Amino acid sequence: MDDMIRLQQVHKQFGKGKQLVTAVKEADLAIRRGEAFGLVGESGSGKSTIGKMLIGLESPTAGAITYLDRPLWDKGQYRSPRPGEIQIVFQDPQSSLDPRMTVKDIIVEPLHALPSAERKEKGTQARLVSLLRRVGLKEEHLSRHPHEFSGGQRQRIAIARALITDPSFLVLDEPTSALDVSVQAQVLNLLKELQKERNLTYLFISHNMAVIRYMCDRVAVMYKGHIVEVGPARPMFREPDHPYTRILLSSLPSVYEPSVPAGGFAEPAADGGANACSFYSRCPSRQNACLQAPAFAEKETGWSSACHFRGGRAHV
Amino acid sequence: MLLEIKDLSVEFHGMRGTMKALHNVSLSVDKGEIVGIVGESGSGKSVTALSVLGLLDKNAVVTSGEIRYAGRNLLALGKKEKQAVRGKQIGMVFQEPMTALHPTMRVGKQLAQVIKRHRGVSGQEAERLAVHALREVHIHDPELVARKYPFELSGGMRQRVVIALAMAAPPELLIADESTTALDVTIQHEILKLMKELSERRGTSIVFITHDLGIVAQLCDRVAVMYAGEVVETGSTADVLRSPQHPYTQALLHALPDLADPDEPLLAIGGEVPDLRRRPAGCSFASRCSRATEECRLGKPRLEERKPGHEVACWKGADGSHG
Amino acid sequence: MELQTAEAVLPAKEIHPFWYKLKKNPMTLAGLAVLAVIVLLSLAAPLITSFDPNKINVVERFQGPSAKHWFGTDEVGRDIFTRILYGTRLSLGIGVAIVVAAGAIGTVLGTVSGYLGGKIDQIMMRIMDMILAFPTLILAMAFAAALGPNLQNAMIAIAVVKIPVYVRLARGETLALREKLFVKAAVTFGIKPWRIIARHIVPNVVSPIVIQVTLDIGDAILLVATLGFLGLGAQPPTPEWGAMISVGWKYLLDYWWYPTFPGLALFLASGALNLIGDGIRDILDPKSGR
Repeated sequence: MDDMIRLQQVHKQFGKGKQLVTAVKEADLAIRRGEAFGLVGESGSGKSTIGKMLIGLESPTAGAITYLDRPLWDKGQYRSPRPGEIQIVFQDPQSSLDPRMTVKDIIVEPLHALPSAERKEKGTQARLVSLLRRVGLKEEHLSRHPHEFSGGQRQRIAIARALITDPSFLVLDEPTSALDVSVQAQVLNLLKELQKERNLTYLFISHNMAVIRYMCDRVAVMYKGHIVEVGPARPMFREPDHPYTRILLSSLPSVYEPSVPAGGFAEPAADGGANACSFYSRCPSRQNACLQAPAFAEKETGWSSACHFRGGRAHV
Repeated sequence: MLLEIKDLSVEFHGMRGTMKALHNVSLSVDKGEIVGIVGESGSGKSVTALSVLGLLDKNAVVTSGEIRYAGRNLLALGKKEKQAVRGKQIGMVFQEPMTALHPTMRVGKQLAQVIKRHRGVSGQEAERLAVHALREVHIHDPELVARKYPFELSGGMRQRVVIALAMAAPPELLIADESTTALDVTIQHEILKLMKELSERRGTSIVFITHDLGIVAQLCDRVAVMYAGEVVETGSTADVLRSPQHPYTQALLHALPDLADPDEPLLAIGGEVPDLRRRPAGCSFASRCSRATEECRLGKPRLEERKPGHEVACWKGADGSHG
Repeated sequence: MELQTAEAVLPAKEIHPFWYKLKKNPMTLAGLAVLAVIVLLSLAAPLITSFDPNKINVVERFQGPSAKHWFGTDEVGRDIFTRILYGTRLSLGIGVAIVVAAGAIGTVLGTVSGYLGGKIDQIMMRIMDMILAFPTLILAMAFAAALGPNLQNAMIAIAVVKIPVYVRLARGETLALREKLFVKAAVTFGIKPWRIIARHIVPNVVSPIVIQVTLDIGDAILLVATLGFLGLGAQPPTPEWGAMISVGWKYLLDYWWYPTFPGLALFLASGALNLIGDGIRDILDPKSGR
């Protein structure tokens, strides 16, 4: 397979001593060229930390992250493959755009990290205007400031800014979580179209399973720093393997479900000890076997999960 | 009817002009009922809740309408009477639990204070009841949690404590404004289960304000869909979500990615909510509605009953003809 | 699929919030009015008075306020009203120059120190703490005395003493800004730190600095006047308010108008500037009103 990004045994710890927090543990991942890879999990699952390590905002404590087989991190220093090759769109377009800058200055900002010849070539007015139109804004918006726009429009500005350098890889960190449903649909459509037109590879980080299912080809599910399941999006959402994935899916309130479904986490059990499965204490189908952590194993081609049991059910 | 809002209009006077936040909003909540108010930002759903609670900002003016609670118009009551009604009979749970908790007082003590005030029991008895109240909201180890400070608790725990506080009086009506929005989905799921259970067991009415149609589907008996400060459709949850009549409700349901085919684009609603400072003369949704015609832009449709209990504010019938 | 173009939310024409809030703040308006009158009078000085501020006329020395000499005359017969008018230009100009210089230097030092952090930041803050440890006036006096008693040195002394306030302010704002998403975004683009400071940090630090500058102008004028009064600032016969008060002080009991009117001018100007500064702070504070 043509892997663009590879994470091997990546660890990330914050703080030290008693305050030590492990945000990401032993993460192994591969993102293929041209795909939309989803990363789903709840707050504190470590999904945003992985995104930050890919764009250079956090350095991994251990493990290797490569981009087209070249390491992204070298002795705590971020080595960008080429300025502007990897870009990010943040969740909150309110704070990711400088309130004092005009839309034009915001969008061309990433070009200032490029060599001057390339900056001139990519920063022409014609190119800027066509990009602006492509994301659904107008030329006259160039001289305005962010506060004059709605949330959806601001996110369009942020997307234009990320695309100005012609990146190959985009980290989308909850790009529609702050938007209303009707506007979210517009932005998701735009992102999907852009991916096709520009042959982009996406890492799509979200807590919203419905959005991930709609946007992504493959998905990784994270729980407390562990990747518990990786697989193809559509089959996985139909028949999740890991019990946590199943809980996550059934917790998402669905318009098509007339009552709050039963199920969910188990009552917290006593800690299973250092060797136990990371989900042991909250797993509704835990067994004695789970006191020994399962390996992250391939269950079907391209579909792996960290659970002893097939389909997460003990009786199989 | 426990709560009845009739033709409520609210304006905000600000530096950028007068914003008409609510326009002739009518809504009723029966005893024991869970009513959802659903809408996007700027729809007026939170302003509606704040009006009932009497927590509108100073620059807000109620220009018309009344809010009747158990037969009495809250807007006409004196300050003291209002507080008596609101403190004892209406509870509230907001999005951010920390705003409702005293930061430097132990959780159990806060609860005991409220219980003591409303039920007139002794201090010791109140503390015992406080632990009981925490158990009621399914807190695993209530004795331990009662001794903790709010900052020591997780977001989901805090929201449970706030619900316990709101239920302590105990109120007849609970107003929940995006109470689960800041929480993880699995925790949201637990809180929703809890609210439904409390309502069923105690007969508490709940007004649940949210932007999430999924929550409405699972939790609410009836729903009011708001758009640009107006109720555009209201009825039983099943009617409104299964056979939506207003083009906005329909479009909102279509825009959800939940069941969409990943190979097809989502049916987004073009454009944005109109500026509430320059409210259009006709239907507020006309500028974004695919079925809008000249008459929609000229006159404002009123809520009309399409079938018993299902009201829609639209000039067009369900099939696009005159309604 | 054709993409729907979103409409701009805000209409083009509306009152700027600044003016709206200003209209609701009568004290600031009063301050602005007083300052405007003072500035206009000083600019129009040659039209209002026919006297020369420095022309000595011993015959008319120590005359009380009259139709001819509105604020009286001084020990060598100069018209005090005329000297106050001309002195306005000097005193206000000096005040503005001092705080603008201190503000600019403080902003640069504070933002760079705050953004880069580490050793540079620690050393910078220690130096600023040292300056702040002394009472402003004493330190200004010491500097002025060391540099030699003239107006220019007094200005330098006061500016140096004022710098730490701005460094601290700018640094505090910078630390908050460094955590903002738009700054982090710039980091991920690979923008160099100096450019981030110039394009993101400084523009967003400017408004609190401007507020502080406005509040400090009155203070700076007072300090210049005090140094003048102590003989460490502007030297007679310069028509500077502090110098005038300093000389006039000796004659207070016999010729009360001599120090009183310059004192009144100083009081009015610094009072007006403080009102304006307070007002701007309220106006620029996003939490006040809406």
